[in-house]
Amino acid sequence: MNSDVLYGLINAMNWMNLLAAFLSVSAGVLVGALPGLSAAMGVALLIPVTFGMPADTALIALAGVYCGAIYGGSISAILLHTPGTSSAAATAIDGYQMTLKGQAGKALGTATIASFIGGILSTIALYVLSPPLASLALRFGPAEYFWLSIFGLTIIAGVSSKSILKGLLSGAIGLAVSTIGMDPVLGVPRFTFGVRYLLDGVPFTSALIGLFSMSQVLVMAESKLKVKEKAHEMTDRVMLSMAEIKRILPTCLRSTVIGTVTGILPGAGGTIAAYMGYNEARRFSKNKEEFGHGSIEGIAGAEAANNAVTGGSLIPTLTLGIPGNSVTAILLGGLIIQGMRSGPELFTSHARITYTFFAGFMVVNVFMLLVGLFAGKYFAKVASVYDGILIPIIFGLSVIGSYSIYNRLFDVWVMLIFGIVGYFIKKFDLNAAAIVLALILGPIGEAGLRRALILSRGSYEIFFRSTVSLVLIGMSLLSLFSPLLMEWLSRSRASKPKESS
Amino acid sequence: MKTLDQKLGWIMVILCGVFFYLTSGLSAEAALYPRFVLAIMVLLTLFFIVKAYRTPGESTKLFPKLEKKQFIAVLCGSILYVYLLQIIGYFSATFLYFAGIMWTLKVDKPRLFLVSIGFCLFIFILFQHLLGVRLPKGLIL
Repeated sequence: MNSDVLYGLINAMNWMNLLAAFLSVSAGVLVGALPGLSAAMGVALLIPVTFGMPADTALIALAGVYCGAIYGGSISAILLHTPGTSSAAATAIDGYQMTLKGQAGKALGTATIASFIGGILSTIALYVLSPPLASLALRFGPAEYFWLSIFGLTIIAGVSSKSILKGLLSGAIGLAVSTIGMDPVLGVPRFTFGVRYLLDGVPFTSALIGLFSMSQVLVMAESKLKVKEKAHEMTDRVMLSMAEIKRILPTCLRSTVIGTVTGILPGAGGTIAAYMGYNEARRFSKNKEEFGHGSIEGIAGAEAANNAVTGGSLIPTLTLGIPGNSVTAILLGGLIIQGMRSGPELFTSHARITYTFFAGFMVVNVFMLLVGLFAGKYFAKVASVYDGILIPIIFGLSVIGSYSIYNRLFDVWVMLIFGIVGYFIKKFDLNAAAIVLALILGPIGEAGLRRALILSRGSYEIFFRSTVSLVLIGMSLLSLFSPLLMEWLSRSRASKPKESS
Repeated sequence: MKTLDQKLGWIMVILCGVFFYLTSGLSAEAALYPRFVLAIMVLLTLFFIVKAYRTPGESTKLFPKLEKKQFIAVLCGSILYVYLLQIIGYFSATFLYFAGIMWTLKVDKPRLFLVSIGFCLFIFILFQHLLGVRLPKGLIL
């Protein structure tokens, strides 16, 4: 075994990393269990807390919130029929039916065990697939980095938005914001309006806390606040028998593969994976009639898939710097704050931190299993907290989070402005994740463009010279036009039966 | 009545105009990338406007079920809170914000005090004591 991998495994067991994993998983489950709060918001709020921590502990804590929140969504889906996160929507179908039958404990146990299997196995994929993919980045020069930034944006805008154009517009807005600050080559200020705090660009953490957390405060405040329905009491055990575990195991393995692959594909995300996992579980099940009426295989199919996305989505994020979804886009920001950059460096000069993070990802999943099995029902009670209490708490955390990185009130105002902007982004169905990604990829793209032009003495031919560039251009075009192609195909398929009839 | 997409299209036109005006003050080299971004924005905005008028969506209202008083109270309260942070200090402003917002949102008094004091305590222990963050000090606390 590689010595860095071994070091990571031992270092992840350090008491500080264990404590960070436990606390962050608990916080993540809490965020996930609360309907309306997302994993992205939880991770965004935690970044400032992790700022002063050692890099490995910080990354483990961020992973803990990510995994915990994705799993936590299933708690309210099962007990309240309200998915805490969108990726738990498929879990609600059978989970709530089991709750109505008095089998809430069994449903929660299934979700916990399936989430654990999905999370752990996707971490193994992370160990195996990341290093070779990262070494691919060694072949990247400035022109390739420019195309990579374009590819990253087109894929997240094209796949994860309801409308490709709106996704791309969001990305373009983010790119425009990313040009604020010092020119990377000439060193002259651009669009800073004399504000010295803007010389380093728009404060990234404040912007993302605003976009994901503060905006949610306004969304909650715009409609009439109602007292939430109380979670159903659990009367049975939160554990499965060996026979039941054997029954869900093939489903979990199948869904793990689906989730990991979906996670690797940028933009697809946990919700799509969960529905795919659920549908495949039904297709292969011997008890198809149970689906929709309370099937443990249905819950396992959805939960193993959405938790497998966590590990899978980290693969392109850590190796190529292309986050698969909004949470990993924020995690990438956390990585940058810790002074690290995605790519081969993570597996060479930062290998010890990276492998501690990977091992910590496993520890996080173990804690998720324990927290889910022994304390899941208590988190369910928190899910019915009145929004009137949540609103000041979320805003209070947004304020302290944006302030504490540089101890500057300026950053709090930035958070507030981005919060209001984020609210309108939601109103107009634009894509906040694409904006965050553009804030990260914008400077990489600009540096690539400018350096490539310096190297080629102003000739644009350099952008089309290498195979990697051509592949990235092809993939960008494919990600842009594939949704259109799919739409056209489904339309032509739908029109064929009409013609024949 | 314009649909939401049509309104968004015109907002984007204004944003493109502002961005064009701002880039015009930069040197040719410093403006290279911003102009590249601007070109993308203009192109996408044109496509979007054409699409928004060719296939207009149904939705026309930006705030279909807006609770005006509540929304304005939360928004203005939040802005006032950030403004007060530097004047009266972090803890006093936070307590006032929490108590004020929860009172407006009709949270019962025992919970109102418990959550307000609990949050301040949590921030004091985690951020000030453990993480060593220097919180804004004002006239009070």
